[in-house]
Amino acid sequence: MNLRVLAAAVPLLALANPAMAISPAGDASPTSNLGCAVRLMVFAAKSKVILAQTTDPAEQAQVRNNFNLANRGFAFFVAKLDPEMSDPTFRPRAERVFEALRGLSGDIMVQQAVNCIKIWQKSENALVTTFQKRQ
Amino acid sequence: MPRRTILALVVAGLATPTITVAQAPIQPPQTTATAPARLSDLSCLIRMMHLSSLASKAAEDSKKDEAYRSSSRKLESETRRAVAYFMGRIGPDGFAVNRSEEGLAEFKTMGSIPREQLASEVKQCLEIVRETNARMVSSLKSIPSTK
Repeated sequence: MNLRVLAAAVPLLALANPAMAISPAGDASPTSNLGCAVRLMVFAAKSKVILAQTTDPAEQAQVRNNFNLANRGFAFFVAKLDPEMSDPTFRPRAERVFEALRGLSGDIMVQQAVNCIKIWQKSENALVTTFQKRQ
Repeated sequence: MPRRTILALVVAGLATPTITVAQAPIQPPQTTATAPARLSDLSCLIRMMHLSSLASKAAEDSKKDEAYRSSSRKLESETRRAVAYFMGRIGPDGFAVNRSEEGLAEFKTMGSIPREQLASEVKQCLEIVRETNARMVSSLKSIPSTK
């Protein structure tokens, strides 16, 4: 999966798809907690590899930003999955998600990762706004 | 609140990855001291939001040397990740009015917490995130299809 160019395009994709559908149903959904955790882990790992290979400062900054976004989004979904991690079904479920990812093209994968980032950002923005309103 | 001191204590803690909250202080100030109680998710969220804001400002402080700003950037990155984590833990009820008032009360309480205690609490919150993330990454990376 070549994510090099696509990784740099994450903000553009986010702008171009402001109303991407979000389906909460099951692990098979790319926006389930497990689906997002796996996608963002893969995306962060790819970004890290790209960062090590990039010499252009502007591209480095962009990829580093994407890496940070993916990492933070990953933490958000990890928190939601924490109670399930010791469940014996967790690993087989995660395996199925990884298997499903193998057949995806790079651009679809990035789009889905962006969707996951948007879910987390929406929650974060809502909470920060709530606090600000009460201050 | 002695913001710079708290920031410095936390940066020092980050520079020493082996530090964990569970460890006893090297020189306990009181022999009767007990391990700090586990903080609530909301308490951690508030501390992480506050610290990420401080770290962000420190990272942009042109009067500081590059090493300090670099440590601050690292701290900002880690605390922002922790904010996302505790946000996920709190869930939708975090948006309820009663929780936001509770959060604001936490903000106010933070001002009266002794700096060493606050630094210790911050490390506790960061450690929770590190540990859970590491557990998840380890679990997912062990899956053959990720290799």
